[in-house]
Amino acid sequence: MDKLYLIKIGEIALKGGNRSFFEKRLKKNIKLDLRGTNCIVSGGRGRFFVEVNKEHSAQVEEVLSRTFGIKGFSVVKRLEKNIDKIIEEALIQASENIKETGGKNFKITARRADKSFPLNSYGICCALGDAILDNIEESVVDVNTPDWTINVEIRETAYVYSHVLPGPGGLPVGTAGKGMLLLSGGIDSPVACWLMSKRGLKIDSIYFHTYPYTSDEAKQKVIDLATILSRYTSGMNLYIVPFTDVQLKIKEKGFEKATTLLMRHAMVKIADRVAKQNDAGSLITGEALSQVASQTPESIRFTGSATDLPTFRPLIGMDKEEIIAIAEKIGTFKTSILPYEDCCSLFAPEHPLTHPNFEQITKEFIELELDELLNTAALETEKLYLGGE
Amino acid sequence: MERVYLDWAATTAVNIEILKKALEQSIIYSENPSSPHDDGKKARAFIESCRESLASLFGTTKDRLIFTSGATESNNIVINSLIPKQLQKHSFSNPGNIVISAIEHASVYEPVKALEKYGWEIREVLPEANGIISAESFVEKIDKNTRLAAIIMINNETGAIQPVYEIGRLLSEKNFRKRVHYHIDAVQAAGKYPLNLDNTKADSASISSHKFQGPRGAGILYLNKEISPIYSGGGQERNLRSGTENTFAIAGTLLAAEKALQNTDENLKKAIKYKKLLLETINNIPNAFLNPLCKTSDYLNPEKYSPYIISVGIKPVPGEVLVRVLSSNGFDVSTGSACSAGKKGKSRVLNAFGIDNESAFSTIRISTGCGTEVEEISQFCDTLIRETTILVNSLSK
Repeated sequence: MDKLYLIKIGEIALKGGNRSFFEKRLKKNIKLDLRGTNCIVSGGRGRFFVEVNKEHSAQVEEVLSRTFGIKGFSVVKRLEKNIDKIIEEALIQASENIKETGGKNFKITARRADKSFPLNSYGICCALGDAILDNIEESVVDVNTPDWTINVEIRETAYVYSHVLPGPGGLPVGTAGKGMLLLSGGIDSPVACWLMSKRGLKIDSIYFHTYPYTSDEAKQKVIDLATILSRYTSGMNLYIVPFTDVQLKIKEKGFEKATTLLMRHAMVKIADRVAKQNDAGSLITGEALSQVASQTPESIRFTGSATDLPTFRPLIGMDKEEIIAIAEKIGTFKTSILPYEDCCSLFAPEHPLTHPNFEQITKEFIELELDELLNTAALETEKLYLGGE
Repeated sequence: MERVYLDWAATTAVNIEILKKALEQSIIYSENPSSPHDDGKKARAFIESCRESLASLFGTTKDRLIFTSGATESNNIVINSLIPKQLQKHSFSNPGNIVISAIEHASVYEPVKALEKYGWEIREVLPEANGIISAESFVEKIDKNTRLAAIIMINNETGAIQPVYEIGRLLSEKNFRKRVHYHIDAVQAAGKYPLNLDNTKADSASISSHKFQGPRGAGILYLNKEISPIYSGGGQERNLRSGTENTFAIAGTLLAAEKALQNTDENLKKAIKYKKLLLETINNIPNAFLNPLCKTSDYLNPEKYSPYIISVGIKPVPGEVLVRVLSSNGFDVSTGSACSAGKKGKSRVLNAFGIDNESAFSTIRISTGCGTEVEEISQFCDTLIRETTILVNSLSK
């Protein structure tokens, strides 16, 4: 192994008695996503390390930059706890930093976790600062706007590094239980997935397929989106529900203006059932308040009443532009905008209800007598596992 | 289950014998036809003999045929040849106008529309209610500033046959031939109807080999007038299509054309029979309509509508849904034109035929070919009746 990464955790550090639970999960997720690289993942209590051969370093950096729970990571040099050796490495890194940045204003940070080390943090900074000032002409200490920084950590051994690459922050996936995402082929639901994964939810997805009114290309698009998302969720199950018969019954019997709401209520009912059968304790949707007719407070009250599970709607207060910016960042946007819409115009009312009367529309849903069709749809649901890296 | 292919207008089913033989010939004559050595000369002689045979099959002379990669390239060579001339004359503000039918294939329509940004005025001629353009109306749009007039011989989405011979005659009568370049897209006609290119009085025409079981990436530009080249290079194909000749494509085009044109009458008779069977079935489907609207007797007249193409809509079933259902039953048909089937929204061509968006949305294209069997049509008709009944019932509240 010729490359060593030091990983810094973010919010996990604020956890009290159950901090080790979060740290163990993070370690497991990193190992899972780096399988196949023969890397060694070690550490705990605030710092993790990944040792890997150079040929896998691009893959390691890509994985660490998207693994929730990681605040930042650095390529580090591991040394014995000897101030002369540390100074020697600091001078090498200083020269490299000058080549990279062209600047000579620098800063030293030091952290002494091992209190038996003879120099305290301030002493380490002074020793390294003096050495650089003495050996590199025109170098200047600048703690506010440095061109580069050299960091030293004294733990069971000493670590010296210059660059800190950002991680996504958040909490390790799986530390907040499991949720079921209602995944469509659109822009919003993948973003909702990413945001809730960031809070530690392990997420499976459910998609409602209305063949032949929806094409196989539309289904493949959802599979492609789930595959992208599975990189953030350390793997994902995708449940594909055959929804055509339910959709046709709603079209046949439902009040035309309410068909979209009745359909969404039916979807949530099936999602609730599939979630409970697969140990998911919450639902996640990409709803944003008043974005469309089915996302007004009255509509959400009705569609949400189809489940007693908590429903997370992380986009509820976001503008479309904000949602698109995240979709672009996480790599789902280009797939989401592929033009494989379903023939929704067949099923979408021209003037949909925006402010349904809760009691009235609930009664209407009951009168549709969909139970048997919903049971069949849930029973015939297809399951696909989409692995991470 | 053996699949039944009814999308011959998009591309014909593969004929392995033709492709194998073309490959053998291209191996025998594999040298560069421009090379000065004996093997190069043999390759040149082979290509020229193919050209001569094709010219004879398509009613012209060998000096009027240029080998291309297909009709899209042939159309573009002609249409874009207006640009070098325009640049030479520095006429940027008002270079002239181009007259086309409003039902052109995208490979004519798009390059013509692209010329709008260079100042060209585009004049589109709509068909009559029966889907056929009046030759007089087309020619009336031509004036002293017209430089190009282009029309499709058989529309690929509906099979409506356009009066290209009559337009050619009128252009000659009115002495427009010298000034106006007359181009026809003969893609859906070549190999299916006897085609005498010289008799069309067109200055140019485009043909794609894969529409009559030739290889993909092979085609012909019939050219009876000098035009400016848009490519530069080794000067092959009268300096209009530089690049080493594709011997496989040329050999395959000839073999396919020979086979297709040996049997045009017999194939046409078969196609008319199949169309009649299909129309009988369609007449029994409630809500079904034919595009364009016309009498059934007219629709069966091979001089007005190609018997190989049927455009039918069944409301309120979306065309793409019916295509999926038929596909899962083993039948390959298309929505509108396969070339634009991946695109959503309005159908430019069907709209030009006077078909509203709702009807266009419900339209599918069934196209037969020389390999279609009567049993396949019977099976298809049974399935069409069964599946459309289910779909219409499901979607009609």
